[in-house]
Amino acid sequence: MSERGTGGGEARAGRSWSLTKHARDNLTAYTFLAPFLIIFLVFLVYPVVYSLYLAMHQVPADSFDVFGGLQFVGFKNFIKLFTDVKFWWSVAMTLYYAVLIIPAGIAASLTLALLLNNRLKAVAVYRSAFFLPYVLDMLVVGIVWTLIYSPHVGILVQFFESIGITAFTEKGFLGMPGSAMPSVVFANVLKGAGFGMILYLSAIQNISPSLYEAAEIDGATPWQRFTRITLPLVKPITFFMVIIGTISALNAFVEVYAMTSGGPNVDVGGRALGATWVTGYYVFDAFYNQWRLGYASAMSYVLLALTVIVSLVNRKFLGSDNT
Amino acid sequence: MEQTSSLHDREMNAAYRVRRGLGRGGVYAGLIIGVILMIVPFWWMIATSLKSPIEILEFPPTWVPTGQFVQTDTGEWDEVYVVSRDADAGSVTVRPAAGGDQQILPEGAVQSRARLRFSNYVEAWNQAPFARYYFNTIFVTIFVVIGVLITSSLAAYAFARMRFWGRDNIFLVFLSMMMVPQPVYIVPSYIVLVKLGWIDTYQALIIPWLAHIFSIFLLRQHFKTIPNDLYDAAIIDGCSRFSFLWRIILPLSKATLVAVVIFTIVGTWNSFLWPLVMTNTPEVRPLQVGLARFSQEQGTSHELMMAAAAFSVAPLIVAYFFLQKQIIQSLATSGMKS
Repeated sequence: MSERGTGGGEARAGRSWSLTKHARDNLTAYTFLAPFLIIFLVFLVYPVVYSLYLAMHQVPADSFDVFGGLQFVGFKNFIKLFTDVKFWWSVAMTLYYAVLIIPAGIAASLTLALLLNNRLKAVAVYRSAFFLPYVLDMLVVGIVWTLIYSPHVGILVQFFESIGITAFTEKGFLGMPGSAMPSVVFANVLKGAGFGMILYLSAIQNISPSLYEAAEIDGATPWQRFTRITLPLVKPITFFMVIIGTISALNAFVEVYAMTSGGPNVDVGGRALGATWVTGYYVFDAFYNQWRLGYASAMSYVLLALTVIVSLVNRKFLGSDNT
Repeated sequence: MEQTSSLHDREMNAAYRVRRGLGRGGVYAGLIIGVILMIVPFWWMIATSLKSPIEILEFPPTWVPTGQFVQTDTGEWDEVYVVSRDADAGSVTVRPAAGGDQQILPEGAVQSRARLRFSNYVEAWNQAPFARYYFNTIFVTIFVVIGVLITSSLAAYAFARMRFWGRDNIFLVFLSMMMVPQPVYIVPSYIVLVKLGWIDTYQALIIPWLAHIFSIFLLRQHFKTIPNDLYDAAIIDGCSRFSFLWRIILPLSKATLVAVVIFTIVGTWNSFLWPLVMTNTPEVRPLQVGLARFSQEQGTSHELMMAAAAFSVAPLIVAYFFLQKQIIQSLATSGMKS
């Protein structure tokens, strides 16, 4: 420690050594960064770059030697990908997932926040109950909901039966193309709503009560107060929720793995396509089940491109006027 | 004039109170619906995990696991399974749970009572190496938490307090990497780990997770709020940069460090895709992957499946009940910052 102390003293004493000091500052900073930076480069940056290399190659289906067996195929994987109906379908399903989860997630979180933003008895109890599913993992949530949605014995099916709706009895909610995706999203919305609720709640509680009082004096209805005061002032949270929803759609995998494995199949122009076949699941399937590493990499690159486009679009449309 | 106005006020107040009362009722109704929606899945998981396979198929479903009992000659209650009911004759055909011949008994002789089959948990636990899975998850989680605290506080300190070449650009790259979906790098990461010979090892589940960008982001935000004077004073006292971080900054950042720990524990405990791909053997397989395997092998046995699901999330639920204030606060404040 004394060594470093004198080092600092030297640097302070001799101004003419500023270049050396600069270099030394860099060195110290990078020493602090090193443990993180090395792992970051090896396990995050390198894979993302290597992915592009891999996308230009093909691993023979019978080869488990990932390195020796690579054959250069140029853009063949990408060309195949762009003509792969199953891939474009997966993009559409990912989009569908996002279109469902973003508004549902925002509505659920905002509703819970507005409900909790009242003088209530036992607020903490409600808040804990709403937040609980957030700490649990998607796999278990998926397994539990699979049972709830299941045909014949599932409680939801039995509930619908008791009110005279038997449409779901035979196949369950996850077994029918029309209800599979909304059901997956519903489970996920309930799981995440507590998180959004907390964010909205603190944003709402930061709004000055005088704004509401003034609006009330001017004769604004509760609905007007909500749309003209609350909504605009929680817009940053809404923006954040849109981003989170987009990321969760692009990341969607565990819930699909646990609940539907990409199915049930829909007949689209003579081809069987999965009603929950999102891109995240397709990448996993091509990689893990079919061992098409090059093809999976090409797909993940297109997924990455989509992520970038979506985040740019988000920023343009939502980010511009709240900063 | 004054009279009418006060009358008017009183009417307004009454109307207002009615409206507020209605609103209040609506609020509680909404809250209760919300609580039911959130709690029912967990209740159902636990209820199912304590039922017999026969009870699971019963209609209407039972919310509290129930058994049917018959009193023996010695006054004890023995469990029976109901084979069929004859409403006209008022009789029930039952089969003793302990084994034996079917009996036809009058309706009144059979009583329903809550019956919790904790034996399902023992059975599920013994059907797969769950003890090993548990150990693996805890082991990995502990090391990831320690590692993330070290790498993130060092890096966050550099970002918050030091000037160096490329600082802001590097930080921007980090933030944008946070957005990259996991399916994008899972294939090449797998190949990197194969090259390192790390498939089926603990380090495959620990080391790559030590680059936790979000923790750095959180800690950097906090470190920036610590006044510069403190640093200047410490340097004059001959304090090195590292000991300043260790002795002064970290003790001042307890709340943020707790948030990082909570985030890391929840994230590691619940990570799935990565360990699914990177492990093939039970020796290093974590709980969630073990659970998925179990569900594929177990398939139809709902009560064992739910028992396994319940004990694999139990530590998180217990921790949540004790630390919910900290958990909600740290997850929420960190959400706000981003």
